[in-house]
Amino acid sequence: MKNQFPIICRMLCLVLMAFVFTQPAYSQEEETTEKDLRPVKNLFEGIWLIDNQTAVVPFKGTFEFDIQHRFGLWKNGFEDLFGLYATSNMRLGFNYVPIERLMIGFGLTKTNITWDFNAKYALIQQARSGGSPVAVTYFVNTAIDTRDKAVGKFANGTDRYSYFHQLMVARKFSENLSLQVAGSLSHFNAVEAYLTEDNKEEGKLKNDHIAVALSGKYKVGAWVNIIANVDLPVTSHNLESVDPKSNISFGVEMTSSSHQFQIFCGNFYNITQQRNNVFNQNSFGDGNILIGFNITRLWNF
Amino acid sequence: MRNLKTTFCFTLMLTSFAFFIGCAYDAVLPEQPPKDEVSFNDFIVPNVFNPGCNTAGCHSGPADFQPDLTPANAYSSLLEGNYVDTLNPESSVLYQWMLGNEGAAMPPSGTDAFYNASILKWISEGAQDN
Repeated sequence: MKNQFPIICRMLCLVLMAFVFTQPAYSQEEETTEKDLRPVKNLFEGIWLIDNQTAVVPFKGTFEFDIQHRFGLWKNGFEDLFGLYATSNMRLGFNYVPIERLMIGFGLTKTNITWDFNAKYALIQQARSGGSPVAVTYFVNTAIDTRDKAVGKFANGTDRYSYFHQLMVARKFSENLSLQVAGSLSHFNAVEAYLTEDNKEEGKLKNDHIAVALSGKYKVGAWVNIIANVDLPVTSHNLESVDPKSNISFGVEMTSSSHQFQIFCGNFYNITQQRNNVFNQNSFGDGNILIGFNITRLWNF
Repeated sequence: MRNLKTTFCFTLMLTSFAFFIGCAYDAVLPEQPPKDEVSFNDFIVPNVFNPGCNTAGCHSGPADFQPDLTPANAYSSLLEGNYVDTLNPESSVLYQWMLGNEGAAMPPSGTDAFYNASILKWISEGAQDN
């Protein structure tokens, strides 16, 4: 796990350099054109980019319905048709934007019958010209494991709760290219313990986990984008065997004014962000890849 | 200025919402299998397979997902299907499925540390039909 730090640093530096070095061109443009402080159009095509939220908050009055599906692992081959007939995971989500820049929502994920309640606020919006060169958005959720107490074996009611905070910095570099870097904190109220050599109880995982996510979109057609996402764990946990694996995912996005469809390959199965970041044991190196899709439908009221 | 105030208020509200509702730091030791030898028929089947695996539509018969984990067929199904490896218990296919290394972790309701520890102990003790 520790040897991932240089990789994370290098990737962060590359992204930051990209953000910084595009600024002079932007400033020159600013001198010759009038300021247009309205938010850029289509920073990303929707609120999801594979397994991560984007910095996008839809317009006020938007109601959104999400279907997120993850098939089983690819590696069992024809036995379960490359995971298509294996046990799968699914989330149904509903979001609404009651006031400009703020989105609230909830969803239900099959794994552990997890309900999540979330909010997203666009702190800074990238301006078309002359204003902020980046968009900064904060996302938070609270997830509740609602399995029967006998199945989940919860010692306390609060053991069902977990939380996820993410700060996203995104920039639309051109009509085609948008990139985003995000830092996240996942918190689980309860983690599984083990007995150490001196017979003390210690959590296998730490309750808090920090991760970094890099996401990007490149437009290849009027309604078609190539999308990619990398999630890198930063926290090292108490038992190396349970350290989460990083996620690499990529796919294709097709959009219309009120729909978004993404189909992709990746490692994350859990859909709920904190479960993905903390419990993922799938890695590309081991061939633990799965196919997934996201569908969103928007209505404006 | 009004915009700045609104931004500040919402940020504060969201942060408070997430940080102060029931945040705790617990580490819970899962229920452990018995210290004595684990019996397949008297312990594994009633405490692991019956509540977690052989319900209808899952591992509930020859026509269902394999292995068949019904009380009558579980042992032969596991042994004949090479789901257990007594020389290297942690590599057993059965255990790897339960950890989620072969596909979605089993059972689908969520991986269960007690089930996993019980199965690993039974395999480590020779995977006997006892």
